[in-house]
Amino acid sequence: MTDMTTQISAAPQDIINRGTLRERLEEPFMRGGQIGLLLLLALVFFLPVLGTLLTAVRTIPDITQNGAWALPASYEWGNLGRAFVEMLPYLKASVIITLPSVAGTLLVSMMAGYALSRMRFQGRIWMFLVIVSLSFVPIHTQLIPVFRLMSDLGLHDTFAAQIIVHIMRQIPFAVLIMTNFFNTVPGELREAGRIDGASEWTIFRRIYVPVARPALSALIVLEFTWIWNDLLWGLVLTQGAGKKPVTVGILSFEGEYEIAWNMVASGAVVAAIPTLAVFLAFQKHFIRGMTMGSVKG
Amino acid sequence: MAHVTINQVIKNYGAVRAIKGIDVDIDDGEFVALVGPSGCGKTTLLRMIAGLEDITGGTIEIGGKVVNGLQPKARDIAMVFQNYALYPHMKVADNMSFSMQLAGASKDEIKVKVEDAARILNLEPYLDRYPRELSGGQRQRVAMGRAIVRNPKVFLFDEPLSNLDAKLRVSMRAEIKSLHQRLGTTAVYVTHDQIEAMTMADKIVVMSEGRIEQVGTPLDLYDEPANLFVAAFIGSPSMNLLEAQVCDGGVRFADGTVLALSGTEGFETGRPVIAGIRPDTFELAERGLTVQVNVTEPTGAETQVVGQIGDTPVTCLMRERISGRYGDVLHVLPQGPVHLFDPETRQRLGTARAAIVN
Amino acid sequence: MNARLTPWLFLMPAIAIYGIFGAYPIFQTFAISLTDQVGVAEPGKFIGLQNYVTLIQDDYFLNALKHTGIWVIAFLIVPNSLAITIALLVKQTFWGASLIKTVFFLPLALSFAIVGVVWGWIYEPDVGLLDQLLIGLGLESLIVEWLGPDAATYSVIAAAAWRQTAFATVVFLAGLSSIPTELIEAAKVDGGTRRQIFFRITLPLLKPASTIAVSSALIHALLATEIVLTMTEGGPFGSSEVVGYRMYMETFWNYKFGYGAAIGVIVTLMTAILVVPYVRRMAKAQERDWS
Repeated sequence: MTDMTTQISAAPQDIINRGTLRERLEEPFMRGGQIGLLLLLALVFFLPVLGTLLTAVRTIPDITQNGAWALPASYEWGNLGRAFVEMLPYLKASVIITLPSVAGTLLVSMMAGYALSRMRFQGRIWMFLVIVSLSFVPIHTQLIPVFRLMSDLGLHDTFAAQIIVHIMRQIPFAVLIMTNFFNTVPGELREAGRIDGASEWTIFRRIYVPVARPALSALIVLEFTWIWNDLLWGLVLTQGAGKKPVTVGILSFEGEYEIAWNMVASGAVVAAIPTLAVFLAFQKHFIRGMTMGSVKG
Repeated sequence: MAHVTINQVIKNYGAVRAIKGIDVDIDDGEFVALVGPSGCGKTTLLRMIAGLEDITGGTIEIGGKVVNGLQPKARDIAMVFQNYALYPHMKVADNMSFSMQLAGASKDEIKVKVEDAARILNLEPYLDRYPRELSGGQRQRVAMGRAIVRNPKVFLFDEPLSNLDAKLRVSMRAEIKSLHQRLGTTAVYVTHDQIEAMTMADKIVVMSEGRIEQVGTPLDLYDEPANLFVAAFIGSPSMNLLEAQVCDGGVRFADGTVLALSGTEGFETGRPVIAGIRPDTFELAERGLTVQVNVTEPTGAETQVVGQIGDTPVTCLMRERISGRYGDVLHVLPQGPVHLFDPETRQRLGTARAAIVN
Repeated sequence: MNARLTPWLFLMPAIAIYGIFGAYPIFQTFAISLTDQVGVAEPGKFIGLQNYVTLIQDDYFLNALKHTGIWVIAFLIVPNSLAITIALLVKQTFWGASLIKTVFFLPLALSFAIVGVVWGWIYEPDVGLLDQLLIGLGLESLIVEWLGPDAATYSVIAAAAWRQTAFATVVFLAGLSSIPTELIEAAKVDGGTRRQIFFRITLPLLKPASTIAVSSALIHALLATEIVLTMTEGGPFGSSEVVGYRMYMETFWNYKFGYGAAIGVIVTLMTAILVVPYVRRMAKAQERDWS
């Protein structure tokens, strides 16, 4: 009996000790394992990028002799230069398409987001739901009629057609983001503006737009990447090389160089540089935009 | 400067009537506090005066002119918001002068006005800062500066001190009051804090559930609350409300204790009443009302005894230093007025005073 | 400005642009899907549901539909479970966190065109990066014809999953960061083991993030057009076709606009069914915000 009671009373103490002890012993192993696993995953994740970069700056004989994973025998930076020159018309087209598209998207969606978030009117929730739903509409439902409409309007194979379509496609998501952002701005600012004698437009332009700057930078980075990276519209709405964006360019580049891997890789690097640069420079904004209610990727 | 007349004002939100026909007259230069628990409609009423909410029925006049259909900017009012609503991207000076900029005032004129307001509010060193670089009290002052710069007919305040810490609130209270006395502009001040209302206002409007319970000067409300709602709402700690019956020469409480009062002669014996006794009027006595102590809270100057008489919770504020514990018993007698209310209509019946107990 | 008109004035540019170039085309697609239109030159004649009837007997389409099914299942499981693992690891180790994060986020910045080109060449027999890597590791036995008829769909999915994992990692990391540390600490104080804390506290609180990651995976899996187009063009012998790509081919390659539109309608309906829960969730959140 005495034995048992001692045991019982000692037991909880024991369990706690053993638990903490085990955890203490486990801790370094767990941590080591975690770091190891993370590094391994990161490496695997990074291999495609690394391989592309390596291949871009090598010669074909170097690749065939030493295999794809060897360090370059010589660094052929000229590959990138050649790829850049050949890609230049596409890069130009992408810039001409992307910048106005982003600006247009921002303006239109800020106005709509402001109205949805800060004004009370009949049909507001309904309008918001329509916009959320539209952000899921697959491009496939619009491809054919838009193609036809642009042909009818005489806009086929123009920058204007691509710009309009990009703005249209981005409106739902951008309005969603701006609405959600303006929801976080105190409504009292608008009321203070009204009492100060500002019109609705003045309140929007002089109070809400400046306040929205953090959300805007996130949205700009995101929209830039998405619009720049589009492929389907670039394929469908263009004919001549002059109006095709760089995403289409890389495909014809691939067709042209077939087995010249170093040139294909160089082309890919050149085509990816603008979005990569924007991404690396504004990673924080990008991620924040992504998580502001995003469903895209 | 102007007087404000609120005449039979009604506000509906869908099918819900939030303001149920309110009349208030605010004299030129008066400081009026709208006070009541949250949801009583005080903020809605203020926003209707500002023009931020539509008026469902009735009229609001500012300076003798009906303003029902007017935009806020046409009403010549200025408002201080609960969260200040400072424009975060503008410096203090621009925050204060935004309305003048919009109205197209000249740079010189703006500069003079902003500097005047800054001087009054001790904001001169901060004119070039952004709101985020200011403390809570400074932001509060900028919000007031924005109102002062406009030199409006009426100042509207929507719980302007509720985001400040206790100490700052007390000093800002005095500051707003002295500012009002200097400028002499009509002011309407919404608060849920009756102490703020008592200390600052010339006139208090007590509201509950979209109606006015009582209008009067702070001391009127304190000394002669019109009903149980006002009695319980005004004064801190709250008035003790005890069920009793009128008996010969006084009232008899539920536990059988008789309190001798002068002033109950007019009431019929056996009439149920509710006796309202302010906590600070109690004094220790040999015999009297029996308080079972729950806790005593010494503050130094006085001791707050929280307990119950019978089943009714009571608070007594004693000048003596009492160290009672849970379960102790005290005897107390009120040495001030005893307010009598009708339990049915909840209206005030009259005031009695404790008679000398023999 | 009239107070009742003002909101609509602010909404007008968005409504006008989307209405003309987005909403009107959606209705047109439905209309075109009921015709036998070929090319853009002239409208087809009304043939009712004939296109849909043909579709369910079209072996090419059914083959593509089967692959789309594989896409959806694979895309729901692989990128999301990988991402949640990565997010937890990154969150727990902190070691070189920002550099590591960048590595995982990087694919997000790449277009599907680039991903397709790069991975197409990773999969190249013998000289491709993957075969070279396996040879280097002495695992030649694992080598298959990555973009051959048997493996093509899975290889393309793997390439797309690479990018999708990046997205899901971002979302889950954000989700993890939004869980207050006090909650985890409280669970520890309450005596929770690591496993209990993960399944009982962390995972339920990741629900909003999961909704986003899952709906994104669904949508990308249902479309999958751009990456198939760049990597395999559906081949070899249709072994990697998906419905989105089928629609593109029928329309802009075979010029069967009516038929292509019918596929577009089906893709849209599938998407609609899958995103309804998400939209309802958003609606609730918004009504709460606005009340």
